[in-house]
Order: sequence, then C-alpha cells, then structure tokens
Amino acid sequence: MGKKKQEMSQVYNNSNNEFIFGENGGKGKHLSSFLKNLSLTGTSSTSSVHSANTDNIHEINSNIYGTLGYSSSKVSSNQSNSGPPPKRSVSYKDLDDDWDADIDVSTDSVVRRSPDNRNLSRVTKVESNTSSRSSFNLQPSPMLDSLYPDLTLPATNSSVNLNSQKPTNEESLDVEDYRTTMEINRLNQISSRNNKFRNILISDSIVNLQDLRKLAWNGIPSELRALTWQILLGYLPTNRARQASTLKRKRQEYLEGLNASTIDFEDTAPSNSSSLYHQIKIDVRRTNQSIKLYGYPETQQSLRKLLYLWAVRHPASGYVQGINDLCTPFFQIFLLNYIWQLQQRVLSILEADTYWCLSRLLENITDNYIHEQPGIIRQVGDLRNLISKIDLELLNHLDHEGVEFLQFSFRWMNCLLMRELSISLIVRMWDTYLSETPLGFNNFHVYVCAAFLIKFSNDLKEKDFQEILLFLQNPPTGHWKEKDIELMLSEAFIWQSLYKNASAHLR
Amino acid sequence: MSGRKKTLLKVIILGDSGVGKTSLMQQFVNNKFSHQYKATIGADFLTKEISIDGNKQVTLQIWDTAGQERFQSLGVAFYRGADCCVLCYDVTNEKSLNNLTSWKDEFLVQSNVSNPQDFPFIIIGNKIDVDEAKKIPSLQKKLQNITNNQLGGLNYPVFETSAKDGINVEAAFEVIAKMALQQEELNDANGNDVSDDYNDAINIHLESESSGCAC
Repeated sequence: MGKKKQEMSQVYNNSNNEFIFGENGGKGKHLSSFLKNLSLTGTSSTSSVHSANTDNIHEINSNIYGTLGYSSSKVSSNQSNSGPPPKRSVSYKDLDDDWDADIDVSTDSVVRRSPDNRNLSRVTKVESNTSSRSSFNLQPSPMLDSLYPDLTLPATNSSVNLNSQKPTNEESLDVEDYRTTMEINRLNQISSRNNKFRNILISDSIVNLQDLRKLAWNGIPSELRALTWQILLGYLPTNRARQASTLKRKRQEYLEGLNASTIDFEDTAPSNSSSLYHQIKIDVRRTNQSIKLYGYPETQQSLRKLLYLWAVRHPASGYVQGINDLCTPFFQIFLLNYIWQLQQRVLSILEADTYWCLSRLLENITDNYIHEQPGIIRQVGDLRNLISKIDLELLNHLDHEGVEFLQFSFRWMNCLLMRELSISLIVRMWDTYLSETPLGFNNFHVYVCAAFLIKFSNDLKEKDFQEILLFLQNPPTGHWKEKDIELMLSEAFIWQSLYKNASAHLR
Repeated sequence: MSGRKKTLLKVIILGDSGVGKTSLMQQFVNNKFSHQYKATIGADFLTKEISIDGNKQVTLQIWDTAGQERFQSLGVAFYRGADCCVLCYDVTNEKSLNNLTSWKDEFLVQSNVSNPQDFPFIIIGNKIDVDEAKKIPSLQKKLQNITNNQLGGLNYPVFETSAKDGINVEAAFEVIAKMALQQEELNDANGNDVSDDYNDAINIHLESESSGCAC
C-alpha cells in the first residue's frame, strides 16, 4: 500500500512541478520566466524530515503554541541558520541578508528536492512523509478557489486520496521507528490543525471571526494564510456568499483608481514626475533587494502602482518610507496562492488584494505616518514606560549611557520590526497581529517590541552607548526560528494582559 | 567626561532621499559599496577611528539620517551635540542640490548649536561616476549660485565624490574630521561655561524634583 502511494504522489508532484515551472507550462508561460528563478524554487523543503526528526520530540512536548503547522517556514529559517547564505557576497553584513530567507510557504507543493541520502535510505519515513505531505498540499485547492474563482482549474488532483496514511510499525520499537511514529504524529497534528481552519473557513455560511482569531493567533497554515489574513483584515467579508462579489468589486475599484491616475508606471518612463512618485520609485527599487522576487520589473511596477494609489488616496499621511516594506508580506503571501496557475492578469488581482489589505492595515496605524508621526512618538514613549515596569535595570543602563529610545526604536515602529526580522518570521508574527482585537499593529506591537528588547537585556547591560546602538541597529536575529517569535509573542501577550489597563496609571 | 583621552566627534549626514548618504558612510567606514542598501529609517550610525594630521586620534561618530521630509521632526533626537554637518546632494538630481539650504536651516533649528553663524558645514555632491549626460546641466554655475550668491549662501567646502568608486570620499571625511575637531575644541574652550551652566541646570532640576517628592 505504502509503496504505491509513494509512487502516486511522486508522479503527482513531478507533474505539478512541470506544470508550474516546466517549459511546457502552458498558461504559466509568461510569468513562469518571471518566477522561475524565485528563491522559492531553491528551498530544500524536504530537509524538514531531517530536522523534524532531530527535534520533534522536544517540539511535541514543549510547544504549546502550534508551531507544528509550520514545517515549511521552519525549514527556511533552519536554512538561514546554517551559516551565511553561500550565494550572497560576504562583503556586507547588512540586515538585508536576513531577507535571504526563502519566501516561505507552500514551497512543498511547488518544488521538491531530493532529501539527503540518510533520509532516502529510510523508505518508511520518506514514504510517510511524502504521502501525508502531498495530502495537505492538495487539499487547499478548494480554498484557493474561493479567493480566485475565476482562476479555477479543473481539479485534476481530486482523484488523489487526501487522507494521510498512517503506517503501523508496531512490530519494531527501535529508535528509528519511534522517530517515524513521532513524525507521523506531527504530520497528523498538522493535518488536524488544517482541518480546524478548514471547518471555520468553509463549513458555515458565515465565518466565525472569534474562532478564527483564536485559532490564527497561534499561526496559520501557509496554504490558508492568504484567505485567513484577508478575512481577519476585514477585506474579505465573513459572509461567504458575499466574498466573491466583494473581491470582484474591490479589484475593479482598484483598477479604476489606477486608470484615473496620469502616471506612467513603466520603469523606463522619465522620472521627472511628482516628487511623491519619485520617492516611491527609488524606494521600491531598494525594497528587499536580496529577494529575487523584488528585483523583477513586474514586481516593482506592481508595488509602484499600489503604493502610489494608496498615497494619493491618503493625503493626510501620503507615502512614508517604510510603507514599502509593509506591503511586501501581503504581496508575497498572496502571490503564493497564484503560483499554481500563473497568468498575466493575475498580477492586477494580486496588486488589488495587496492594495486593499495594505489599506486595512494602515488604517489602524494612520497616526504613525501623518505629519510629525505622533503615533510612533507615542509608541516609543509607551515602550519606554513598559521597560521601566518590566526591566528597570535595563532602562537605567540605557539612561546612564545616554541612549534614547527614539534612537533605536523609531524604526521598530515605523517598519513594524520588518528591518529586524526575516520575512518568514514577520509573516508568522502577522498571523498573531491580525488575530488580535483591535489589530496588533498598534498597541500589541509595543509589547512585542518590549519583549524583543528584553531578549537582549543582558547583552545590552554590558555595552556602552556606541555598542548599544550598533548592536540594536543590527540585532542578531539571523538564527531565529518561529519558536523564538512565538515565545516573544506569548511574552508580549502576558505583558499586555498585565499592563494594558495600567498604562494610564504609569504616567 | 573630560578625563577621556579619546576625542569623540559627532558628524551628521543630511540630504534628500536617494542621494547616497548611506553609501558615503559605508564607503568611508567599511570601504565597500552595495546596490542593496534599503531606505534609511530614522537614522543609522557607524563609528571610525582616524588620526588627524598624523597625531591626534579621534573617533568619528557618523549619523546617517533618513532623507524623506516626513522624518525631519526626528532631528532633535539625532542632531544634538553634532560637531559637523555634511550636506549631500546628487549630481544628477537638481532638486537635491536646491534643497541643501533647507537642510541646513532645518539642522540649525533642530540641533540648537551654540554658534549657528559659523557652525561647520560641508557640501558633498555624490555620484560623479555617472555619465556626464545624466548630470545636472551647468552644475558648477548652479552650485556657485548656491554657495556664494544666495542670501545667507552656503559658503562651505565642496567635495564631489563617488561613493560607488570610492572617489574623494576619504578626502572629504578628512576635512570633515578636521572641521569637527575645531568645533569640538571651540566648544571645549567656551565649553567650560556651557557645561557649568548645564550642570547647574541639572542641579536645579534635581532640587525641584526632590522637593516635589517631599510634598
């Protein structure tokens, strides 16, 4: 049984790869060249088998935050952990290097590299992995359809058995088998978690937002992330009957907004247009430059369009540097939903969705970007107050060295820690931010920043003014994994519950 | 504070977004250039130890600021205690040249330096490595207008640099360091009074605070 299953999924996966990236990729032709070299294709996703085996016991016992659903993104952080990325020049140790972390998510469904030999030799393990993995790769397509009904393909994959197989290894009890069992358990947990999401997202005619938030706080399966984010942001209505029409209308509105503008968004267009567009143009060019996706002219043009439209529609703040960073998680998470069917018209849909979700996000932090940025000034003050309650010793040390909070935490607020953490970690963080009520980009973020700062408390207390600023300009988060983020989020949560209502008393 | 042997000189780099402030600082401090710098948010900071005239060891503390106007209100937190201010423009971007005056004014307003009249500024025109055709037409004339003729003109040393190819960067920062050192020494000379005042102010503050507590 197992063997056949394995073959089937391999066949499926091969054809899957070919459909998206192969030369005869049919509809995908135009964009496939655009995406061919995405770092997406480079993830050695299968290595999760290996890493999962080494630490799954620990994980299963210790982790109460639901990291288990994140094998694929965990891989990318593992990968960035294994020393400096070889392809990048070693000469600059810019923060940007963190952004090397491959675009996370359903890389599993897209590309599969052979696992290292050690794993290959263990047929059972590979097999169980492959089958369960493919099972949850295939499942989400009906969900994707609800976001992109007009893009639906005939479901060629529906014939594949979706249920994960559970080989029984009762006869032998050696360590390898134990590990295999643990791996299976882990995959089952993922699958059950996915089912929970699926139940909330599609079983009722109205999505229960409360339940969704509760579940999503601990992380969203990558295949369901785009849909879930859009609902949590209020872009997609909870009433499922209205979802398709809303999307259609919103995407149309976006296109009409663009048509009304007189800007020529082509890269080659002369740049003597407005200073607003000039600013956007030079910033888009230097957005996430170490990720290939953002180097493509198509991507850059999309970002220019949506940022420009947002800026002219929100004159109170207009475009502020850093907002270019904030739209990237949306852009790439949504992109991953289309990657199985690449077409040119997808780009405008992708842009529109990114645009509206960015708008929703920024509505919550408007004060951060208007004149004099009062929101950020308040947050920086709140952070200081919070540290005075949680870690007075650290505060005293910073004061003694003459370090002002504005000097290091302004960027934390302006870019929501996106300059400090890799994008795969940011994506996980946003699962939680989006599940907070009100959205966590404002108040909850301050608690997260406090947790972030205190992570380095002991280091910082040893340092003088210059060392502190240099350290915080480039905090050592390169090796961080989702677990670190989740720990930080839960610390932030605890402090929020402790101090939320006491903050007025603080001042 | 006066017991420290090493002199610390604080240098602020200002100028429009995208003129190459980060690249200049990186080229000077780390001798490297990258196309991958992100837009600076708030301000970044690097230090470098150099010797001036071959004998005086100083530490340059260089603050690379964000170019977008929206961030200008932040200046207070970053400009304080500056010893020299570098005004940057891009030789291919006329607007960035014309904005130098407002960057200077903004700096003086926010930094609250003791000698605004003769505070040391220096002008750097960056990106001279680009094609001649892309450069601002009749740049020298326009530059002169700004440095000499304009009311309250920017009569400061001018360097044309390429942060990309490392041209003139070292030389510019040598001058910056000297000017900053002069300013620092000037501050030290008058400085005794100033810092005494400052200490007094703190004492007063402390007294008033303790009396507050007593209530």
